[in-house]
Amino acid sequence: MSNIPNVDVIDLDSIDVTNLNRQFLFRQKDVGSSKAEVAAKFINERCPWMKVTPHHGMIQDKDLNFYRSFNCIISGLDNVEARRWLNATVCSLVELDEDGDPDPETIIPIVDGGTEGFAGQARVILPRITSCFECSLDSFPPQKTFPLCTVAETPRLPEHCIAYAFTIQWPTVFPDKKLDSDSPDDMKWVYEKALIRSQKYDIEGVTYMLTMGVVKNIIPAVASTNAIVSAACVNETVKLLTFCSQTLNTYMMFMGKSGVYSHTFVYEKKDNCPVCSATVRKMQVSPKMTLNELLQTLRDGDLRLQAPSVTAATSGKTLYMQKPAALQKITKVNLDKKLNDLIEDGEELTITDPLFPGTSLGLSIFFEN
Amino acid sequence: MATDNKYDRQLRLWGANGQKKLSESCIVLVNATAAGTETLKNLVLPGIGRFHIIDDSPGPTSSGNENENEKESEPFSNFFVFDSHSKQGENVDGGSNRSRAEIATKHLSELNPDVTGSFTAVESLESADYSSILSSLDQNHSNLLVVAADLPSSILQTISSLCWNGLDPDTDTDTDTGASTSIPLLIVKSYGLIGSVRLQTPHHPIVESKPDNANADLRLASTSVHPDSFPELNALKDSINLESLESHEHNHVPYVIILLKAMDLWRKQVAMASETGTGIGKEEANTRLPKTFAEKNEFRKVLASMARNMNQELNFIEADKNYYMAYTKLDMEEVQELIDSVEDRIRVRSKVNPAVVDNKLMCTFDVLLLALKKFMLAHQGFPPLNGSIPDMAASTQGYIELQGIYKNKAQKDKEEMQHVIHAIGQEYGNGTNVIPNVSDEELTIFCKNIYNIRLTKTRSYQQEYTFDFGDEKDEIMGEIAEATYDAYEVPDQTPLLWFIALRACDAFYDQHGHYPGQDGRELALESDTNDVQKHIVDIVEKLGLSENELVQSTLLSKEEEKKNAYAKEMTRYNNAEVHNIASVVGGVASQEAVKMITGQYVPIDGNYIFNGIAGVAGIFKL
Repeated sequence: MSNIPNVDVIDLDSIDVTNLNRQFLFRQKDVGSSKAEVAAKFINERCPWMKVTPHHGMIQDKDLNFYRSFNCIISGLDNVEARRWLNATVCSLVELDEDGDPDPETIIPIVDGGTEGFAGQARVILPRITSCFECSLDSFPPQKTFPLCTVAETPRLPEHCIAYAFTIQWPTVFPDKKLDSDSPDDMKWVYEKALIRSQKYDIEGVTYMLTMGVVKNIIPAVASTNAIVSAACVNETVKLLTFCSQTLNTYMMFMGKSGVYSHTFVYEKKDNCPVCSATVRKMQVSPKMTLNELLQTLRDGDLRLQAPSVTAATSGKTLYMQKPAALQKITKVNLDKKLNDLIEDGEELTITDPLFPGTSLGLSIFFEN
Repeated sequence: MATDNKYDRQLRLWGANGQKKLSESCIVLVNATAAGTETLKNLVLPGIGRFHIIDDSPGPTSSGNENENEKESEPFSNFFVFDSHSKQGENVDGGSNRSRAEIATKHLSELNPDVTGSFTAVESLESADYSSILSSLDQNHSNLLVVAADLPSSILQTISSLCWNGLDPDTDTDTDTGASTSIPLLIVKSYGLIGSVRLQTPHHPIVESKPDNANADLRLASTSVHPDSFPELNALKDSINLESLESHEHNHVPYVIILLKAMDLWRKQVAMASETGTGIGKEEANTRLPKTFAEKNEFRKVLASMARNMNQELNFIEADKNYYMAYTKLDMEEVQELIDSVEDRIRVRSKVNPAVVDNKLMCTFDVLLLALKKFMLAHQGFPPLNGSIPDMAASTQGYIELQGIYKNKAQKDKEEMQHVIHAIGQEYGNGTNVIPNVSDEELTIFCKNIYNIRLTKTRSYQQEYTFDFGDEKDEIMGEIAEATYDAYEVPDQTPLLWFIALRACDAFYDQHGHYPGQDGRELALESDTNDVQKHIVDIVEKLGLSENELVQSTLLSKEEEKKNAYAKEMTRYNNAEVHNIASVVGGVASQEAVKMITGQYVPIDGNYIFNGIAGVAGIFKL
């Protein structure tokens, strides 16, 4: 509606009936079809000056050249991992000149928006200039799950019964089949098992709706908040593309449960951000720590990597590679070796991870005495 | 997909109850501008009952080109108002004969088959008979809500008066008693890169305000001081002998019980101390609660001493985390005001002819509040119990047993409330039908939300526009001044300044009959800018901000570069319809409308200003 005709849209999802309360480009007849394709078709017909090109698939299916071809990228992604991937990809496109300053020609702004019930936020990321998404990773703590002993031994809430049904009972009864949370049959099975368990313990409150909420971790969503955030994002995009006014610096949040609280502030860059700062991190470890234990720390600690691979920076020696399979097989033997048998004290490691395509992390290991 | 219900994602916010209220609502939009239709879109999608558009504009004219192959490719700013001559396979209307009201109604209705849309295309919005249109729409006016979009103040004053006083000419709205059948009104504007939303409602009671950090109502303090107020809980506490428990039982005792026992133990210590001469009577020691900082610390230590392993027993860790719940009462301040004033409200309202006000002397809200007041008087100031307890480390059996005790007491309290309400009916009724029926559902929800009860009442648009502050003058001007001390990082972009600039455009319209910037020639633009600036100065003065530092350095700045900057920018806009701003406004306004209709969450009281230049927003009560 702002006369920006050339738009590409990527989405891997198909339209679900529960989208219809807010995703207004879709109708009942479109349920089951590709979101990207239906959205593009609707816009191109309603607004004939538009040329929207749909891509039905994952953002990770596209390569760097694809992303390089855009002037601005708007993200309405619904999970942290995808945002991290996109952020790292677009940040990796920025080239530094001889003085180490980012070349403005290679900076592609990312405008990111998200909502949850009556709350939402919109932010502008200018890669290498402002804070990036990874800088704010701490504000998205990993999803909490119920403690295993509560679920398995002392359930008290209907949620515990549901968690038992889908995390313990399902894999026992269907060891080779992954639970499909979009299948009514699968969900009915979980609901019924949860209900039986709750009856055994005299726990009230297991309903089908609650079952879905727990299994799918459903976040409530409405038309109004999504309208606010998406409009705010587009507003910034238009200003970024046309230079007609100043842009959001850098983060705006809305909370609408009580009145409307809006807060705009600068989200500061994180000094040792693995994506947008070039610093080499330092880590102190026990000399007895194995390579496998180090990898576990990289996954479970504050870096929250997915599947790290490690190379020694100066010698270039490969310590462990997740892919390709042949290399993984050869380097697997290093996993149980102690770090101080593999590297020197203070040696720098280069870490790569599927979450950060095109970038690597520098990590210097120091052994405790 | 795993569910058939398209409203699933929103039901998780406002429940079936809220959804029902939405489906029974009727939204009236006056002026189908982009801000207006965007607001409606976000209400049609979640399933309101019906909407009705009142508009005086003709539809967009067809390009006149009969060649079907040539597409109309001129961008339009209203997603729901476009010439459908060559769009989307239609060739229906012949474009130019349909009113904007009709076109917008058609494209909005299409969004959701559950919603009915209708319209009235009027000659002019200035002279439209709003009263008769609204009256014809709904027998029960309480289902109506009006959205007034991008209207000049003269029309707004007509509509806002009508909504404030309700459709019945015999009632005058008294904000304190809520007498009248006023209609909630949302005033929205999208003007260049500035947007605003303002709600007008004289009396909007809220039971389910759903605050973010509502604390559980565990009644530990009251049970400790008045054991008779909750005998079952005390009995449960007494039946447990911590020392005799095996370790796996010991670490599964719910923290509620632990805190009660800790209180007993602390009191024993205090009593012992008094025997050694610190002067506290034994009897007082039995009902005493820690008050001083030292006492509270001591209590916490006593609690820790009861644990066998403070680092590993989860229930004791929880008890320590929540130690203050053993002696504090939940805050009832906001609710207390409503309780204290209910009898006065009823007394005043009884002077208004009850026959006119839906035959009711009291609204349901007041009946419930009065019943609450009487209940509390009979129970040492404690309201009916909510009955829910949070999850806590405990055995299944122990938790279910504890949960059952709370649920039973809540049920008993609710039944007592039912008796109280019945007695109120007898007392005030005198055989005539002046007390509304309170359904079991309403009573249940009320009892579960005692601490969340709120009442929103805004000032009228009329009062605001005419700067009629009444007794609230100091408070309002004080708040406005405060807003300037909390300036945005880039002070020139502080939303309040843009609110004033927007108001100046309204004043300009009052004066000239059109918005500034209509004539694009340089001299005209300059003259318009000067007029807008004059109005800015006038408004600044009426708000008591003429000497204000922020205002002086921005709106009133005499510096070469900054002089009349706001007036210039507003003149440049000439009330341009920028879709993104209209969309933000539509999002905010629709959210407020949903809160008003469902009676859940807390609506805004004030003007919400969105500054799309810097992406910053603020609220000002005027």
